[in-house]
Amino acid sequence: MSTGFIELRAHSWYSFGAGASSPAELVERAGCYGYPALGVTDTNNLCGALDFVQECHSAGMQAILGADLTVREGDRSGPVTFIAENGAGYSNLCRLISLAHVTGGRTTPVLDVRFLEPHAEGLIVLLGDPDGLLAEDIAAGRWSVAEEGARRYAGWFGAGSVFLELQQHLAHGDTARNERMSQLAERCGLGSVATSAPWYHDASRARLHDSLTAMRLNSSLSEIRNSLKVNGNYDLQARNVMERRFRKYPEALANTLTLAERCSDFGALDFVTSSYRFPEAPTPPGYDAQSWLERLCEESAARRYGGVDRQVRERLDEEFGLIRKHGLAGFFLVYHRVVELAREVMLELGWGHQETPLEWLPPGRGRGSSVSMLVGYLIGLSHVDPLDYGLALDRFLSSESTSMPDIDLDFPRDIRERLILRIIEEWGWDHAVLTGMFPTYKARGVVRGLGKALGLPPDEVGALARRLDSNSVSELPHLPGYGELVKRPGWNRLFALADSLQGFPKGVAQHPGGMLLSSTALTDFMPVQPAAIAGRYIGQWDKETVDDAGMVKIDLLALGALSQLQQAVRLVRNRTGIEPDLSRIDYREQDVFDDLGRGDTVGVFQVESAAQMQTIVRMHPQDIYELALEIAAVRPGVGAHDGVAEFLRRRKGCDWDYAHPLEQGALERSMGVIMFQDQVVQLGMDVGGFTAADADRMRRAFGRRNGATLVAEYRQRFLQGARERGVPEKAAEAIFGKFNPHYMFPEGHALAFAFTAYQMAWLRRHHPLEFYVALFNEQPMGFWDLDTLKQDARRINLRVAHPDINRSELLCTAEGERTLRLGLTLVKGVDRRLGEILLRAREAGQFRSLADVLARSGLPRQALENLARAGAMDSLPDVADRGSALWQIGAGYVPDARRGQLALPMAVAEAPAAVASKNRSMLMLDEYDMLGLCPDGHIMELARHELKGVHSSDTLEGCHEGDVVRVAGRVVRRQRPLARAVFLTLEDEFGLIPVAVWEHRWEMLKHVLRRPLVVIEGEVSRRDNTLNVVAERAWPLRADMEFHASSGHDWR
Amino acid sequence: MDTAVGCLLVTHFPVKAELARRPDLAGRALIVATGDSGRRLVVDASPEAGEVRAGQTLTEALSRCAEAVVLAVDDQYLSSFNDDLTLSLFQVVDRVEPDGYGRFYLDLTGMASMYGGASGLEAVILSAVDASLQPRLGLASGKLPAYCAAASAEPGKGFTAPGNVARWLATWPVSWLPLGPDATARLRGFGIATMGNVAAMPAHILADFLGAVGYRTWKLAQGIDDDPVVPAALPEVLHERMEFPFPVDTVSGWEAGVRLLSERIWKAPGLQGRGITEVSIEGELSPNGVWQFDRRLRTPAGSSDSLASTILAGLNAQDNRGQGRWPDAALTDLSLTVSGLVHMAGRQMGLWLSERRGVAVPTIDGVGRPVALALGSPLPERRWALGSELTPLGRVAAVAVSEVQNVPRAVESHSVRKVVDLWEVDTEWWMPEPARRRYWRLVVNGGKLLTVYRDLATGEWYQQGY
Repeated sequence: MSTGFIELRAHSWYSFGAGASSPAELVERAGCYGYPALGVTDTNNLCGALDFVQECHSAGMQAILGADLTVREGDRSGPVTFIAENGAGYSNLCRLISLAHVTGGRTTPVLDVRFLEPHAEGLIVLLGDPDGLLAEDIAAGRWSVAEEGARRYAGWFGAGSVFLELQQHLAHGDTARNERMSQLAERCGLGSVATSAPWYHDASRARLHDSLTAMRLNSSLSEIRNSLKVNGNYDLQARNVMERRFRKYPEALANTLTLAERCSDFGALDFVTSSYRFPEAPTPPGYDAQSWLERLCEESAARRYGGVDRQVRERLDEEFGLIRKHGLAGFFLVYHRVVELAREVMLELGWGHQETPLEWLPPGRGRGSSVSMLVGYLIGLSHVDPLDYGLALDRFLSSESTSMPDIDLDFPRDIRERLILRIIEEWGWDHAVLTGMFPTYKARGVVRGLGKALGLPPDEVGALARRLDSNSVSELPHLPGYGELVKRPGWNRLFALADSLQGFPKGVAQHPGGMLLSSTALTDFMPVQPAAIAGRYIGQWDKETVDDAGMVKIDLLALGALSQLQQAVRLVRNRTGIEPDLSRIDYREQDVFDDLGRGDTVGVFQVESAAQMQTIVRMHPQDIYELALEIAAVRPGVGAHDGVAEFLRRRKGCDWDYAHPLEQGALERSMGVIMFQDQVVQLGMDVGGFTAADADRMRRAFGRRNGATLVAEYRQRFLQGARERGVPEKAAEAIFGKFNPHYMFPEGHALAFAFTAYQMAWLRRHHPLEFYVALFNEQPMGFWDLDTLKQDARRINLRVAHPDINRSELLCTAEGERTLRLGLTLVKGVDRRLGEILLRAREAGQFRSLADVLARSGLPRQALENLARAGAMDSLPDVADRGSALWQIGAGYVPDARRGQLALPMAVAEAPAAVASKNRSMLMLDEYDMLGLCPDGHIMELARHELKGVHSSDTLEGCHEGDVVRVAGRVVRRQRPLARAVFLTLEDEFGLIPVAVWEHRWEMLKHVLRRPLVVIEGEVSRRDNTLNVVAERAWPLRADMEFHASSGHDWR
Repeated sequence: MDTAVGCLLVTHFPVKAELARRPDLAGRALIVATGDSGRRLVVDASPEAGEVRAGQTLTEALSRCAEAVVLAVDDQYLSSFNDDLTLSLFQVVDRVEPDGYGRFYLDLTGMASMYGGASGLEAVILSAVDASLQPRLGLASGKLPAYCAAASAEPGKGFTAPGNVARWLATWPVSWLPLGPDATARLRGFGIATMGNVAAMPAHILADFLGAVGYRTWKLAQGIDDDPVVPAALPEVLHERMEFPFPVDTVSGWEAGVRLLSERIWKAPGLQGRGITEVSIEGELSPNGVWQFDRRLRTPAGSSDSLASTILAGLNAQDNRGQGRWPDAALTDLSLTVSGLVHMAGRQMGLWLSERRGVAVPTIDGVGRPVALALGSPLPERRWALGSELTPLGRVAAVAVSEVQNVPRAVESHSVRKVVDLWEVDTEWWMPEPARRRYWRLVVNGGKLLTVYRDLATGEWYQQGY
């Protein structure tokens, strides 16, 4: 080692709410200082460990891994630093971190001191953090207690592995503490070690560190002064600075080198890779994994196809060969086992039948490129027959593949919830966990977090955050009012800090579905912590880290649409006694495709957005594959080069040709336009001469952060390959130019979604009531709000009925043939618990009067008032109107404390005539407030009389291209795809009005167009059966002063 | 009409009261806020503070008005100031009921004739209160209408409620009725937004809805408020006087007189277990003229000794010209008047700390900005102050330090023998006055330990007061 000091205790941004630099920044700065090694000891986790190791590897620097843990001794606790000297130490560190989280508390992990001794091997301990118990004892003059503590650690870990830490930040007390700590080390025969324990790589991040601390403690900086560092000297220090500060303690400096040397043989990535084992699937006697998988597929193929014909045989042989080559049979069998567990759950929930083969009615559905595997189709991982649609394997698995394939499975929500627990039960919590993820600060969170930390006015902070369109704080200087704000104290600091906070991880969260399984204990090489949902555990690495570690992530995703389908089918069975089998419905029904082609798709999975409605009307799909094309078309990667418009033009018959005949193989089915990921891979192979694996890597390179260099390399290779295959450079350039970094669906994925979309459209046509009841009950589904759904339900002649205290259940229900009865829990303030209380009271008999409700319901006054305002009391005989009902509740309500067994349903006070009746608008606003919708009306009815010369959605149909019109409505949706326009959807009492706002116009109008109710003037655009109003001017509608119902969903 | 009740209203009482004792702050943005730690809330603000409103957090307020001077609410002072107003009103009306800060109900039955009619009465009442407080006077048949009338009056003027009170009140919001926020919100929920809406309802229904207060609420909405004015007891004032045997022109003679008066006044039975917060000393000058010295005490004097010491400390304190506050000529007599009596029961040393915090007020530094009071601050002098009369803990003073290569070599005339410690503070960067300092703990000649620091923003040196 050439330097006299190495930092062993840096903290990265994975010390959530404190660390103010990324691992890359720390490594880069350490490199500038000439450090040959750097230690990172984040607080309570190893979330950034592999990220840090890779940064160090790139910089040619030794990575030293450790963590700070809060150790509890009796009723006191304080931080202790643990550093992994070798693999055993690293494993023990992972176990200790897991134990701190599992036994100490999910949000405040604390490690009981009793766990240390059994996990001491291979760990180096640093005692003496200024906030630690040892420093506290020394400061308080408890010399013997301090000595006893240090000796105890030496007993557990060995005197050679315990060091007392000296820190000098030029903070008051540092000098005295170091003096005493050094004396204590000498007295106990322990070494001392100097650290600067930095929280950021550069002193300029000190304020960010303070702000993060305040945000972590959910307080303003003024409120937590005591918790802040007293100065900004907690940055990574240069060697000469440390040498000067610790001139008195040369041994403490030298020991940093010694410790780094001791840790130099340990490589975390290799250790993790060698420790991880994907579980083996059990096989019957006489079979290995490959032969058992083949046997399962053969049997299933016989059931599916009535035999194995040549086409099936060839495909199976190809897939079996690939599986054998890559040793993936066990991998597929584990997935098969997961699906079997899901099926058990499904049967327990009352779905399906034991005798139905798994692959006939699989509990979940594959998505992604794995849908192209026939093996997957045969063992229940997918519901799309890849042979029917000629799906190619290359994107998913090829002979050159080097990484494990990725299989994603969708399940209905309730099945997935139980399945996760079932998997943990099957493999154990230390062998089966959910992948972690690190949500990061985006523009709005940055503004809100810093605003609170700086103590700025919450209303103004909220208003500023809401004005942000994008996820980037770079938009801030362009917002109106910025010039004024930036001059105000506090705000200028917010703006100064915003940029550096953006992108910081906030903490560990649960990945939407990725599970990690291992035959070795995961806690031997990756810390695990409990998730917010009881019974689940999360690994401390996100999916990129898991990939880097070579671990297999099984994605089990919850898809609300499947829950909706499942519920709708059950409702149909309950009402009619017939259970539709969605796998056997007619997938060529013209009426269903006509509905889709008319854009009659509100509530239909994947095709309900404004953009999709516009596209589907123009495409008018006639079969499942065309529907898949439509679904794939509305993806950013297709739209990036105007691909959708070009595809539609070609579909209408305009002249076009391939850039080169070699494109044909890949693009024939989509008329020369790239619609799917698979086509990029295919073009790479056909035109660029890549192998399938290489072509897929090229595709991925486009999506990588900072992948420009890599893309440039692939471009050269592609052009070279094309040249060799006789493709002119211009054509090759044109083909390569079609690739872009934006997301597209794999072909199989689009098909999988197309089937689900069709099934929903089929239900919507044949069982609209059940479709809507299920749709209401499965909210949120992420698109339209309840009021828009209700409008659409009414449009197709369904009646949406108010909740009723005597008729409603907890959730929405179907009444008769055409009535959707709103559920009790839709009412604001009536949660499941209160709803159940009411239903239990109702078991004793229906409520005969409001007085009876007051006497028997057991609900708090607020809930009763909310029910009355929502119209749930309307049917009671003594309720003349809602005003009087409210009055009577106010007068007759008996609080809990006074409610006793003698409470009788006595008549209560009569409401005065002056207050009894509420007018239509009051009732409607009450309903919006209580239910988020007005069951039998629309807010625009209130404003309509004021709107002279304003078209409604139904009169708009008669307008022509170029007509200048005014329209008005509730803004129910805003979308901003890659196109240079924002798409709004207005809703009035008659239907939806699509509005397009060009980007330059949006900048001028956006503050109006963010209001809930607006009037818009613009030109009518009619293309291919679509209708849009292209906004030129806009005004807020006055009625919004009183309108508090949920406003439209933004694009985020 | 019957105008038997008056209501004198001083709006923005906390700010006006502070301006009364700090006239130098007139015309500046002034905020009066609660407490001295944690979440401080605005209690009141002067018009110059623009968008600042009561109820905002102090940080929010300062973000809207950065140049505001912030004062901590001083309940003891406000209470005393309110008492003064009560006393002033007692000079012209014998039945005065204070109702919180800045609101006084006056029983004016038969009073108009004493002052030459209603306008005379109005003028007299308004002139009883300092015009700078801009009092508003409302005259009506009952307390609530009088209060509403006062609110309708222009500053410094009176307003008599119209004859048909119920009609006049009909448009007033229900929030003016003495109901809690919950009951008010529920009434509004029914569209009962004004007193007229309440008045239009049958009384028994309102009683059903609001319970016991329902009927009274209904009557109030009709403009009927028959609650009597309950006069307050006059604030207690004690007085003692002595005559010198001959004109005395020495400080020692005057001091003896002050001590004697303090002892005599403390023998009054009314002072048992109580403390004094206001003192006035007055004397006849020889050959003519009057000398007077007034003092308001932040810490009540609870004994004759402490009273005398406090008075003498104030008299001996030097003014801007370096002079004491004693008279320039001989005194022939001396009188002592004390008021602002407070209970002292339960006072014990164990409560000292909390009490000290409780009376904390900010001090104004040389540039007119308040020094923030922050208990968690790493800067000792910012944690709390004890008021203008006492020294803030850890108070700092400018000091001359000579240095060599940024290391202190001498503090004033004391050369530095040893540097014991060095530390830095760089914090409170989010506050209007961040602190960037380098501290030195030094041993100077004679073995004395000193702590000095250099303000890294200005380069000035200061000595820490500990």
